Amino acid sequence: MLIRRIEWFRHLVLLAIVCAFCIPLYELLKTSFERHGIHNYYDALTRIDLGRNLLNSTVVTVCTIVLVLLVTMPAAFAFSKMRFPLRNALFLMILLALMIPGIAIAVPVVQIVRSFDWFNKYWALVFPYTAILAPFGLVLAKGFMDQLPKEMQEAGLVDGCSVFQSFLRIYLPLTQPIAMIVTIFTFLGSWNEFLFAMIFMRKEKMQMVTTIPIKFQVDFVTNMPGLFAALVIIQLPLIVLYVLFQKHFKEGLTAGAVKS
Amino acid sequence: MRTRQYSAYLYIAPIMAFFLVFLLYPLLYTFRISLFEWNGIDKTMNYIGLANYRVMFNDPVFWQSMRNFVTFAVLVVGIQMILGFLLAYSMRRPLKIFTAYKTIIFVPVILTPIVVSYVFTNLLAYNGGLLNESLRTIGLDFLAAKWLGDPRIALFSIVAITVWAGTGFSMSVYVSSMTSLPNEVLEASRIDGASRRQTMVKVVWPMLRDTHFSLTIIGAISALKIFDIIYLLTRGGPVHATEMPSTYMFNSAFVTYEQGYASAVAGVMILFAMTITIFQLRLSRGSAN
Repeated sequence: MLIRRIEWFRHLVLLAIVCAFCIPLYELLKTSFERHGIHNYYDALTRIDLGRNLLNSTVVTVCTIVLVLLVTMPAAFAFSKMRFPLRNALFLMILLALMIPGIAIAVPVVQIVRSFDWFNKYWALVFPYTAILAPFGLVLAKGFMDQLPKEMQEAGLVDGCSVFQSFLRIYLPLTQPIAMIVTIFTFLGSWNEFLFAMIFMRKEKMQMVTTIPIKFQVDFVTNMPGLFAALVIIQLPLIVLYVLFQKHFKEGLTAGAVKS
Repeated sequence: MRTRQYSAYLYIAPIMAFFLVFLLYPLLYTFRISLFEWNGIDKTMNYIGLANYRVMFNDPVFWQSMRNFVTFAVLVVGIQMILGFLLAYSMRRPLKIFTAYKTIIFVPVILTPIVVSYVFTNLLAYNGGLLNESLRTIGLDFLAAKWLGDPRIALFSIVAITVWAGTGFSMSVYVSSMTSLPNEVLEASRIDGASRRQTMVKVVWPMLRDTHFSLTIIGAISALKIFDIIYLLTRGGPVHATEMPSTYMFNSAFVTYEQGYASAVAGVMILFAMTITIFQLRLSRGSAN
C-alpha cells in the first residue's frame, strides 16, 4: 500500500516538473500564433526576409561542419594510431581550447578577421567556428578511434596499404557513428552562436538567424507574435533534427562529461 | 612499428593551423593588448604597462562581476546537479513515459539562446507576463515582481533560466553514468535493509563521484563562458546586478571601445579558465593513480 502511494507521488511530482519545463516552450508556440494565427509565419518570412538569414546560417553551418570533419578526422587518426614526438603535449594544448571563452579572445579575433578583410563574409564566421568547435570533435573522434584495434592498421600494412590508405580505406569508414555525432554537435554550435555573428555580420543581407531578431526588435515591439513566429522558424531545423537523431544529440552533447 | 612517424604532422597540420591562428595567437595577443591603452581602431597603441590591471582591481564593477560569477556558478552548478541527479534516479526504470519525460526535459539544451531570452523576457514581464499574471490571478499579487528589473532578484532569475536550459544536460549525463552502475550493489543495499532514501544518498550518490566532478568542471567553465543569454536579457543590469566578466568585457571592448582595458578583463577570464583546467587535470590524474 505504502509503496503504491510512493509510486503515485513520484509520478505526480515528475509530471509537475515536466509541465514546468514545458511552460516556456508553450509560451513560445502560443505567442507565435496570437492575433493573426499562421499568418504571422508568412509575415516573418516575407516582411523581414527571414529566408535570406536562414540561407546565411545554413551556408555557414554547412561549411563549418565540412571543415570540422576535414580537420578532425585525420588529426584524430594521428593522435590515436601514430607515434610522434610531442604527441601528448600537442593534444593537451588543443584541449585547452575547450576551456577558453570565445569572448575572451574576441578583440584579437576581430583584428584578424579585419586584416583578412572578411567582415560581412561567410569566412569571418566559418573559420573561427571551426577553430572553436574542432577541438571537441577531436576529443570525441580520438576517443572513438582509440577503441578500434591497431592490428587493423598492421594488417593493412602487410597487404601493402600505406598509412594514409589504411586511414582512408580501413579506419575512416568505421568512424561514421562518431562523425555523425561531431556533425550534430558542430551544427548546434554554429547555428546557435551569437557573439561573433553579431560582431562580424553587420550588413542586413549577411546577418545570421541569431542576430536578426535584435534588429527587428523595434519593428516588433508592436508585433510580438510576428517576432515569436520568427523565433519558432529559427528553432525549427534544430527541433526536426532533434526528433530524428535524438540519441546522437544526447551522446554528442554529453559524451565529454560521461567519458572523463 | 616502433619508429617515429613524422608524417603524423601532416595529419594534424590543418587542425593545428586553425588552433594557432584563431586560438593560441589571439590568446597571447590578448595579454599583449592588455598592456596598452587602445580603442581597437587607431593605428597607435599607447604602452602603459600594468595600468589597466591596476584600474581593474580598483574598479568596484569588476569585483561585482566576479562576485556575480561565483554566486551564479555555485547556484547553477549545485541546482543542476541535484535536480539532474534526482530526475535521472527517479526515472531509472525503463518506462515509456519516462523516456518521453527525458526527451522533453532535454529540449531546452538545444534551443538557441536568443529564443530562450525572448521567451523569458515575455514570461517574466512585469505587466502581462505569464508569471506575474498567474500570481495575480490566484491572489498572490504581493509576489509579483520585476523579475529582471529588480537588482535584488535579477541574478536569481537568470540562475533559474540557466537551470531550465541546462538541467536536461546534467540529467542525461547521470542517466548514462547510472546505467554503468552494477545492479547487484543496489539490490544488496536493499537486502541489507537500507531504506530507499539511504540507498540513494549513501550508496548511489557516492558511486557517481566522477560524474559529479566532471559536471562541476563543465558547469564552472560554462558559467565563465555565459554571455548571450545575459546580454540579451539584461545587458548586465540593472545597475550591474547581473554583470558577469563576459558582459563587462564586452561592454569595455565593443561599447565604450577601451579594448586595452577589456583585454585585461579577458586576461583574467583566461587565467580563470586555465586554473580550472589545471585543477581538473591534476585531480583526474590523482584519482586515476
